[in-house]
Amino acid sequence: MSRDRTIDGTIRLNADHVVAARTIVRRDILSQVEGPGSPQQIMLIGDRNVVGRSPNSDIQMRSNMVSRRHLSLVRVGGEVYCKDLDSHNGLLLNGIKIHKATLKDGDTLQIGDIVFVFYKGVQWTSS
Amino acid sequence: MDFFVTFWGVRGSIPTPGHATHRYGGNTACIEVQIEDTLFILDGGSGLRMLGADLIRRNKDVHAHMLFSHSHWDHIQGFPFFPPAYNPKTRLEVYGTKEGDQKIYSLLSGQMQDRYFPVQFSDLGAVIGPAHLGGGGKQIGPATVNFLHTEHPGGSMAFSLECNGKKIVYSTDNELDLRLKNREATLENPLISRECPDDFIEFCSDADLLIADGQYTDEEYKTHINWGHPRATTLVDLSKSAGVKQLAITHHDPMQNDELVDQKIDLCRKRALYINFEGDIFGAREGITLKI
Repeated sequence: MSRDRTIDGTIRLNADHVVAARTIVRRDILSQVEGPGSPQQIMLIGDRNVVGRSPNSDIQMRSNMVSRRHLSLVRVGGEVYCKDLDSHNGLLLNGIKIHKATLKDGDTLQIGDIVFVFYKGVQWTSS
Repeated sequence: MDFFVTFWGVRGSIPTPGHATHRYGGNTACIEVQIEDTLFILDGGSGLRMLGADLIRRNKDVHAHMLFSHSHWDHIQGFPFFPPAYNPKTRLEVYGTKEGDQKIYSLLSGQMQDRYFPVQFSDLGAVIGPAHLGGGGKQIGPATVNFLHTEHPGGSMAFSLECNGKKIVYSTDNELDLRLKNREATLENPLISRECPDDFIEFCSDADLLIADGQYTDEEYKTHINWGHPRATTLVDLSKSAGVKQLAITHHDPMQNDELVDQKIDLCRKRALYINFEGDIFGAREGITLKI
């Protein structure tokens, strides 16, 4: 498969190249860095995720310090909002107890003994 | 009865958008306090636009009590861009201090004269009326609201809201350092304890949350004396003296990017350790809601 190179060196892709190219997508990630189950990377899929101890949670955490429905993560207009669902131990954002917040890249979220780092728009490549 | 406190604008002086201020935010002063169905709006800087958009999303008629610390641009410039002000179902009460004090109300309308803005104040759909706080202890909904004049060129006011044993204080644009009892000594030696004025200690006493202007680091303050803003670290001493439980430092200087705000907050936390203040300290950031 040859590529067309212009005089300035730019490669011009034709349709074959596009089909062959890998799809690059950006995903928001919760990286669990402390607590039962860590370390693990959790990709946020869909517009709403509930994190809790309940098996019905979208993201289940196996810790007795986590409420059955502890926090929600909702995506609106490209932003991810976290909200405490009246949990027993509360929600800490960068060490401060909050009710709700817009998450920024690198924020630390703590629920009970579980600590996540939020990464926004991490690049994933799939073929 | 819980207070829900949301930060919509935490920047001082001028809106400071951009990548460098992305984390704390670049909008100027605006705080929302919701106590049951009663909505307070503390200052109307550029953050007021985002609050307005959010109120529209909530799809309820808006009845807001608007308390403006003072009328400098960074505290009123969001008002013409506040979407609920264009809705005939909205009621906005704009508070002055004494009965008949319409200074803030007049300035809000003044900034919408046709030389400055295409829509006239008189063309806004909302019912907007002046109100007053009186001598002290005004009951607004479930909350008792008090005010205190503060140290700022042209004047400014701090507000306290109390309800069912909970209390928050909003004190912005207040060069508290000018009123320290041992001011000269603290300028020579910033490490010594800063003796805050009694009226301010009393006003902030036992607050569950103090949201306060902490625009400058100690180093920055040296070249900004009499600009109307304090050393952030002085708030730590005030918080300790007044028994404040949580201190939110706001009105970040437009020259401070996110890393510099982080460093300012770190300096405050170090001072808290040094003077043995055990409350929480954090840098106010757009988009955060606290439940008090």
